[in-house]
Amino acid sequence: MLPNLDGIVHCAGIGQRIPCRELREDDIDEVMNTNFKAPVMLQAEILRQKKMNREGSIVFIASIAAESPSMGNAVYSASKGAIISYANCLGVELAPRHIRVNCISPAMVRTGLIFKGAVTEEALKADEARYPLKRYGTPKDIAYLTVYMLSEASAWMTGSNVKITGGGK
Amino acid sequence: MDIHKFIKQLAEQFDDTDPSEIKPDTKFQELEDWSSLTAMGIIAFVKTIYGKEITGLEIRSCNTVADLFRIVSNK
Repeated sequence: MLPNLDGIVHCAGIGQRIPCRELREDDIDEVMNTNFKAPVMLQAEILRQKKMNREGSIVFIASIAAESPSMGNAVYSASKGAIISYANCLGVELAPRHIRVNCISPAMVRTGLIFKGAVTEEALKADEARYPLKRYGTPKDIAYLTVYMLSEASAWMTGSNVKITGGGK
Repeated sequence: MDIHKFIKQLAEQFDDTDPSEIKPDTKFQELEDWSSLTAMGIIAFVKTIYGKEITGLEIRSCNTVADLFRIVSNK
């Protein structure tokens, strides 16, 4: 049985690189179901079952892709824009109970998600070299910000979307 | 429609009110954690569970839980 929660991090996600003109309904469902529908429905069930403690913290791992267009990334970007908009509304609804809702929008992070499809390691290395801090992020980089968002150190933050990018755009 | 089931469903819309506090004669809009969000929740669960549509105005016109139950039952 799920215990009551002081914090939750919605970080499951998948990537996709398909040009807009080739998108099919299944492609949209695949990404939106995982990146948007699943966290929204999970969060709804957690709230219905009253599993979220007062003064808790909810974090969504979004992406700078929501505001930084790149080729083939339309549905992924849209899914992250959708979760940011959803999180903003959730934050307003949960504020009376002092439950905070924030998003983290990383730039490129070295995980399995980015090594897919037509993107080659060489192309990624060239892109990485253009980052002001000369590297992509690591999961640990994002985890530290997530810990901050979950902790009381961020007690006055809700409805925020914090970019963590190594200076990348 | 069963009023006991309805009250149980209504009680789920309140985060801080003990379900045992909600009875047919409860003035639900006077409960401490009543808000416009609770009203939206009521509209949503009435539609989901009973397939009926009620309005915010109808909810506002109710005094007690029994009034609300009557409005939903008569839809």
